[in-house]
Amino acid sequence: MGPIYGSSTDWILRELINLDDKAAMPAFSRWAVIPSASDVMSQDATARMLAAISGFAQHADSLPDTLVATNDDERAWKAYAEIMFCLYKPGMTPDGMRAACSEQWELLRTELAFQAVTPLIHFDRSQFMSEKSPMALLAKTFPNEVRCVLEFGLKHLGRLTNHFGSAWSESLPTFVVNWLSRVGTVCTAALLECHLDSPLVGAEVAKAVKALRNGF
Amino acid sequence: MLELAQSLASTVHGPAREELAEFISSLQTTNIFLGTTLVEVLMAYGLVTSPVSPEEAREQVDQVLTAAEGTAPRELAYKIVSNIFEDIFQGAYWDAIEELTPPDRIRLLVQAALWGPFTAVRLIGSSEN
Repeated sequence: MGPIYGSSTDWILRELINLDDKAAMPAFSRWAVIPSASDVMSQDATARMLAAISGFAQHADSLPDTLVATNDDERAWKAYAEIMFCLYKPGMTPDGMRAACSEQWELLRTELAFQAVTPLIHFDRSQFMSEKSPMALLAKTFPNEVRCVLEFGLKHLGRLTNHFGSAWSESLPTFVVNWLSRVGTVCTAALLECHLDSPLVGAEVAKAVKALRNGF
Repeated sequence: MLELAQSLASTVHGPAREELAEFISSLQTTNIFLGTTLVEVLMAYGLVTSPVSPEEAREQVDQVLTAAEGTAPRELAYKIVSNIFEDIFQGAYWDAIEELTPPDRIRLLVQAALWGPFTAVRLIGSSEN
């Protein structure tokens, strides 16, 4: 678990990524850890982890041993960390990524399905390196896997766990619907239609269903 | 009012500027947000001198780069990097970092990234725990 500290650390790590030198590995290794669940600045904490993973991926073949999970929420974060490592690894082909990440996605779709949804909103809101937006990269490279995770999330919105307590919980339903409109299928549209009357996300659902129906 | 004074800083000259500067200098506040704005206005009128000169900032950077591994240089490195975001230092730390060669810049930034309370971090197989 990462320390609750380092408001300038996100900037430092991004500078080190740009300098692209193996000498920076101790810094990346230090921060390539699952953020502390009690860190009130979840955006910064998530950005630090993603920056460290991105930097580490420039020069290493696997994540450091510092990335340890002790509960199911942390296991989900660790699975995503391994997937993000592949996404940020220079020279990885799409086929290579799918092969390297299949085990993690299987874990996220099955054993850790209730823990797998909320990390995505934290990645999305971390605003880490817009040109390498973690959520956009995940959705582009693994649309089916992301869709499965989000569809499960839509069906079980009230039972999903969150590593950071209630952070972004109010925004989660809208987030799930909006991203499903991008990675969903005709079957997703049918699933979304069950939520058309929802006062919380009904309007977004209508837009998402329309977008999905028009896309096919 | 402070924002208006700040926006006028580059356009007001002569006796009017002196009068405005005198008035701004007399202002005091214990409010942290107003205090930040007040410092910015004072700086806009050239009424604040950086508490650290460019030479002193360079010396601090050299201190980190020449020090042996340890907590103190890491803490100093973190303070140096954090201070580049503080207007009060008027770019002294930013310039000191910008002047570094890439290897020295990396060394400083790595030292800064390594500072912090390690007790909250699970470091497997590390002697720093």
